[in-house]
Amino acid sequence: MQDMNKLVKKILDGDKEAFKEVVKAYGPSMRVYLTGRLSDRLAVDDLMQEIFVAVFWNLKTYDGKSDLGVWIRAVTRNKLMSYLRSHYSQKNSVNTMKVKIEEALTAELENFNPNENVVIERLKECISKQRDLASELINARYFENESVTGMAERMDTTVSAISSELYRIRKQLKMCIEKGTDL
Amino acid sequence: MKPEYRELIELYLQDSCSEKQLEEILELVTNDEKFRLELAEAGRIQGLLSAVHDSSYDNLSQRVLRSAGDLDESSLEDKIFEKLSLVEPAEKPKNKKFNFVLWTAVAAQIAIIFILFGIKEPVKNEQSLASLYSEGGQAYLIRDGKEMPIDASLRLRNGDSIRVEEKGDVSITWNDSTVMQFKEMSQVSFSVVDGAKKIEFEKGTMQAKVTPQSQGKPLVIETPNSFATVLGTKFQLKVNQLESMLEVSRGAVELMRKANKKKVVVRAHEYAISSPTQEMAVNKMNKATYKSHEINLDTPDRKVDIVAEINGSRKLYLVVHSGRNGIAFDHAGWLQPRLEDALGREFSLLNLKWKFADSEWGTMGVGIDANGDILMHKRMEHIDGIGTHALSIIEYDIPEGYRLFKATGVITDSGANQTSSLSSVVFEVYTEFPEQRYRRLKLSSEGK
Repeated sequence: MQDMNKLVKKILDGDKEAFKEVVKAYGPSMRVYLTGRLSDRLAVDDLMQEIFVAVFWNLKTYDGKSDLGVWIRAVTRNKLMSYLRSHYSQKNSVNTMKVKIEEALTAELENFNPNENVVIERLKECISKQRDLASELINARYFENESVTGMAERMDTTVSAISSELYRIRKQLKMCIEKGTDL
Repeated sequence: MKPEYRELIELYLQDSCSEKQLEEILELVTNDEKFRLELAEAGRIQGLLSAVHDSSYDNLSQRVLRSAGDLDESSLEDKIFEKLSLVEPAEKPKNKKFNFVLWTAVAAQIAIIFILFGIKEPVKNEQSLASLYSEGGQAYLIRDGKEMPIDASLRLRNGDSIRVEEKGDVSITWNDSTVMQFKEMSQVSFSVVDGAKKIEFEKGTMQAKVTPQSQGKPLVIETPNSFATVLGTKFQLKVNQLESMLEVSRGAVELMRKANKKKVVVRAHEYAISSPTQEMAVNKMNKATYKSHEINLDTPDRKVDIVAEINGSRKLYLVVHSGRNGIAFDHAGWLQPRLEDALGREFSLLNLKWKFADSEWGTMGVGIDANGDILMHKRMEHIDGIGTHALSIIEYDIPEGYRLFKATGVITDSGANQTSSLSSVVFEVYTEFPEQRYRRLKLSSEGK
């Protein structure tokens, strides 16, 4: 935290370039948080830019006593909720439910961790150990953003089967990240 | 966890739940802690996987700092006085009397209108269309016949062109958030006519995520032999003078062949090739049953163990392509290539004669390297391997009943031991002819 406080001081002293270090440290956590909540990757990119701009301009209000990651997470959460409210501004029941579900979920989300890069690197290793089918499913669903319905159709199987396989893969990846267990 | 809950989670994460399903999820996240934790965790893993894919934050930093710079915090009055001081270095009025300040402000606001028009007449061609960013450099903006290296201070304007060298890149973020990346010797010009983007893409590689465009104003990309019309999607386009190859990841793109004005619509996970000599058709993309990470001189022992599921297929295609630094020095070998059945019994692929083989450089053969010498890896002779050079493909008809293809993929000594070698290769295995993948790689290597 001390290093981050020094960094904040440098930025407030006019060294704008130092803000790149903040983006580098907390960008991964922010992306993880937002992509877990929004399926639209373009919206995530836009929102990240908006949030970091807000963080940049409001750094002077950061008191340095709490963890910078906690503070940025709070800014992110607020921006996400206001995005959801404006995005789902039509007051129909579907949109209201989506906002309520997200509100319930945000309580479960972890604080931003400047070491998220370590987790991501570990995940890369875990992915490289995946067998072919799992690798294909990860690629299609998470990198190509193909829908489970589309995958099921293409692979001539059911949405339920694809969902169960993705569930199993996520569990294995989680275990691999946490315990270094091979897949 | 119940299977139906797993399905609900997947549908929720891809934002395609029905109203009834959302009601069920809301009920569950409110009253079932296990489900709530499960959904939160699924979101986190999805987020982590996305972060694996989008791991560069330099571009984001640039955009943030640029946006932060654009959002000047100073007040309107400050801006007015700042503009006034451009033409008349007079002292800023001080807070003497209210009416003086008021009148000054009113006069200043009137003045600023004229000054702004005088100083910054909005000439249409000078309006910023997009921001530019080059991660690896070697990309140039061409404006009014002058060429300048791209840096974050430059903006794209109507009529600009861009040239990218072999290892260069440039990312273009349009004002509507459409993002395009050009690589591999790209040459491209940009214009906006009546609000519609038009891109003349002479050659190179383009990847794009296009924000939905306004009704009746699609993005049109003209290549030497086709027009691609885009409304909002994610795709890749590779172009040389002979053909244009379009691959769509999401959404749909209409491709028109110039020669006969024939149109096709290319949808997600499909591709089409437009060339003067070949009829245009839409095809499904074949996915590799195995793809290695990049093997280079830093990879331990310059090798990778390959295990590909072939599930009884009667066809096998072995592809080697270059890593990220061009095809130079990319000598490769498939050591101990073999098939394995469900009982673990192996059958050497070297017992079979290949049906077709093609490589970008040198010779291909059993026990020999791309130079035609004895196949060596880490100073060991390998008569049990196939030597080749990226980009290459080998096609086999294989006997039925085999579940796995196994081999060790290596960079051979003939590539690694050359002075200043930069060998880097990727191994891929297919059970259907990867026409789209192979042609794309060919197009890339021809540009190098």
